[in-house]
Amino acid sequence: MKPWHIISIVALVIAVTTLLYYKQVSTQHTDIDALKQQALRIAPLLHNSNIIYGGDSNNVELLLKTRYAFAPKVIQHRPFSIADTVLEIRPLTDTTRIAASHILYSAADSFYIYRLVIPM
Amino acid sequence: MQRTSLYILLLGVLICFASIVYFYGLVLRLPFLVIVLLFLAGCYGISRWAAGIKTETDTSPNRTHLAIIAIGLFLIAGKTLELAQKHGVWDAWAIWNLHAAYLQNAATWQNMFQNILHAHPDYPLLLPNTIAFLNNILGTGNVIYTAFCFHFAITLLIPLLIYLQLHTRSFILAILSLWYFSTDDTFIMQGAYQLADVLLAFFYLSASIAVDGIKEDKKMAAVTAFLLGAAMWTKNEGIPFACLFCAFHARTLFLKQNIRYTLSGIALPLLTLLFFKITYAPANDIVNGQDQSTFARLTDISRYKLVYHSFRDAIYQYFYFPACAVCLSILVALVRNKMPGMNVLLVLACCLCYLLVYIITPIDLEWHLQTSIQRVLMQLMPMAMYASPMYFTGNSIFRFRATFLQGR
Repeated sequence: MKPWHIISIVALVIAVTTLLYYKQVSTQHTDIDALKQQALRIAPLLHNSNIIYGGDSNNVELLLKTRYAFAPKVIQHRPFSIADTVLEIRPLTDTTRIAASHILYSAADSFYIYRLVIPM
Repeated sequence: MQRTSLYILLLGVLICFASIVYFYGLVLRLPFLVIVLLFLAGCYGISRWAAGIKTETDTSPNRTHLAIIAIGLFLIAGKTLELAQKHGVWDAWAIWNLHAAYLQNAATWQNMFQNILHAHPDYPLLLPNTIAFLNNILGTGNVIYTAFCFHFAITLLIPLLIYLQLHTRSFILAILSLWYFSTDDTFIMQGAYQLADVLLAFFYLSASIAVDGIKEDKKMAAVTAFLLGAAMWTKNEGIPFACLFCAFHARTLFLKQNIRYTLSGIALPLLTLLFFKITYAPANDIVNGQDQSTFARLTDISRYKLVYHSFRDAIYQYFYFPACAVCLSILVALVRNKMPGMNVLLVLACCLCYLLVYIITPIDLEWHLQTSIQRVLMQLMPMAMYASPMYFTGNSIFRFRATFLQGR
């Protein structure tokens, strides 16, 4: 068997499967998918941001208060949506940035924060 | 060793090299173009160096094997698409892909070390660095397609490597192993979930194959050592594996004519790992959790029982066939009145080492076992599936028959 024959087969399988995967998942737009997508995109840049739209405000506030002794200001309630709360994190210091980063990370638990949008 | 197998092993070397170059690029704040040029220069150097490595001549019929390989790989592809999730499972997107997203940004990558709770920023960086590097080359901000493609490629390379190594020794066993990998949900699932365990399994397997090639060419000692370094640079489990591997293969790796290659091979990944652990990584939760209570955990019989039952259940449920292969090779060794193969013993020693870590873990044991025993055993599975048939076939299936006849 020539190496290039095998490499061609492997490359073909990878290319076809990746295309099919792209087709399969690019149409998935659930809230959780959107959240995860944004978390991956935004988490590294959190120090530029100061607003988090949280889901369960009680949990988020409790987390911030107990772990970081920091109380976010709830600036908007949206009870009609699963993303029911907008939290403003200000002033933007090292502590609040880490707190925000932590909240974002906690979004990994899909029951914790449902939707998260951070204006850049 | 087959020529194609050597190329696959060198691909493993290049993956590790790319992640190391990218890591130092981030640390030294090098422009991305410089990182790419350094990587390309390294690729050129490695390919020139490896061009002279001696390999077996493959005279197998081309079309039959290619057809078998194509069928096997497409079966894996079909199953992968069935099992794949958009972002992988929790560990994938909240640890590995999230780290990759951080590492993609040269200005803010160190923010990842602030997510201490549950995010495991102490994990080595081979996988996220490689995905970040590829993503920067592709110029896309979305890691999920790169991650999927990368993990899928590694998932394919494992059965392919085993098939290539086995088919000249035993055609039947080569097909059986390819069939097993192509239909095994546990293995394919780990790749589809985008976790680091399949990549680690690939490095374990590659190192085992490379060490077998040292008798053909001593340069393979450097490849083996570099792949061991790659395993350490992938996950913390790679560190005890590399130590055990060096202990079991000490007579080959540290032979007078090989030691120069071994040390030069392991130097770069090992030094990079040490630099990362000393400079950036926070303490590991398991290592940090060791104190006076460790002795109490070690003497708690109920923990041993729980670990044993979980291990037994995982073997029965997910790894019955590989476990049978290991047992069979031990049986063959007993019949031949010889020691089992080094790699078979290494698999068993690694299992014991992993189980010992469970005994002393400061994390809730039941939760720890439930969430990880299947994954850590999966890391060793491809190596077991390679080492066992390689041991009892030797050069042909007839040796396997002769073994039992000799035993009578």
